[in-house]
Amino acid sequence: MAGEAVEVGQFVALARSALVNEPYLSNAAIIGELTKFTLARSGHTYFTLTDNKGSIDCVQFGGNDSFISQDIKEGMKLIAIGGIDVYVKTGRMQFKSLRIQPVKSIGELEKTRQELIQKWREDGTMERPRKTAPLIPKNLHIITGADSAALADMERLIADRWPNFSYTVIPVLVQGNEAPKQIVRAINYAQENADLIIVGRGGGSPEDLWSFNLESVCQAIIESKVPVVSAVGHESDYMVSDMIADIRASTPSNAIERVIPIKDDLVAMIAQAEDRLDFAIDKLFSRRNEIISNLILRLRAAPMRGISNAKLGQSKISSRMNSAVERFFMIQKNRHIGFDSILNSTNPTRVLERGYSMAVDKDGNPITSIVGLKQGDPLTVVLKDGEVQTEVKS
Amino acid sequence: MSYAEAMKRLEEIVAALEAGGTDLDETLKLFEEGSKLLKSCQKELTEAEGKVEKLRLEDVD
Repeated sequence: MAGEAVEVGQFVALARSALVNEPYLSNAAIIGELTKFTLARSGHTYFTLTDNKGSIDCVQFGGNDSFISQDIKEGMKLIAIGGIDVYVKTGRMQFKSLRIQPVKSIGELEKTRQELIQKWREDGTMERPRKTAPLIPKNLHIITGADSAALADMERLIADRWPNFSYTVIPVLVQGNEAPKQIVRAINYAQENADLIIVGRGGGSPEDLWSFNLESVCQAIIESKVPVVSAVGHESDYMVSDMIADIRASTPSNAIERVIPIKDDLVAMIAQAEDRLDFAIDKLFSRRNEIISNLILRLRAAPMRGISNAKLGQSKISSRMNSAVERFFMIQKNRHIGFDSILNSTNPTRVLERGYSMAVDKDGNPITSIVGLKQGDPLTVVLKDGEVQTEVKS
Repeated sequence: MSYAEAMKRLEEIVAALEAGGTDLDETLKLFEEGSKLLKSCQKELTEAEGKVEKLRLEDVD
């Protein structure tokens, strides 16, 4: 039997190697209450984590600084990240911690949250001007849990509203210790290309959602160059990220409803705007045309009225002149007629007809006196039906 | 002589003729002058009318 026995040291070494080669044990995060701890002079920290089912001694080499800076106290809930180890000399199993992190209670977390809100109220961050989302995002980045229900909801809704809408998904852890860091990194990465960022997750316990109450995550949202939509949990969940983001959506689906327009609505709206524009222009032109054609009519009539007035004036004056001249000639004619009758009544031949005769000289001039007549002068006596030649006897 | 001046002269002539008291020579002289003025005024008016029609065709229609 003695020949089959293994030396203690070898046995413990064997046990150690079996334990440390087990992945689940060698690389783990354990959570428990800190029941006691010692900050050794060497700088190493020795502590014990306990819960109602078990307990384990832990060591963190050079861990003192970390314990002091995080203000670790007995009775706190701690997460220790590291792996199992066995101290061969004593055969004692212990957890070799690489990093410790206190787990704050919701009460403590809430206190920190209120302090953060207070700080940003006072420094004006809460009231800073917000960026507005583009009407149609050309490069939307969605930061959320990979394969999450929230992502599925958002993708379905996008496809409904705008088929074949193009966007980018950046998958991140949205809860747990790694979540804040990943979310911050994703926001910083997205803003290089995106014109709009949605960051969020579906509903969960307050602890699950807590990343969106953390200063680091919120600071990244505040500092983003492009507008950020905060879309966390259900309608009733109100995160610090909701308060400081450019746009607050009550849920991830609500975020999509707020930033992705319904394509058909937009198309209809544009068509309607086009119609209205056409109508307005038509109306404008027809009114102008009406005014112009009215002016044309008036313009056409105007000079013609002037001309017809002038014509009328001319014909009036012309007829006045004609009648004046006609009257003149009528008056003259009437005078002629008067003269004529006088002349007729005094015509010597009329006298001859009544039985008188008339003596004329050789030139035909009537002789009306004896003065100038000598004996032997020839005389012509004119009678009603002819002339006779005679001479002066005495 | 402008159209207005011609019409004014024509008015004077007609008024003188209407008043009577002019002798034959004067009457004939005035009538001749009046007729000439009337003819030139009518010509001017016809031309103006033609011009308006032309403008209508060119610019308005």
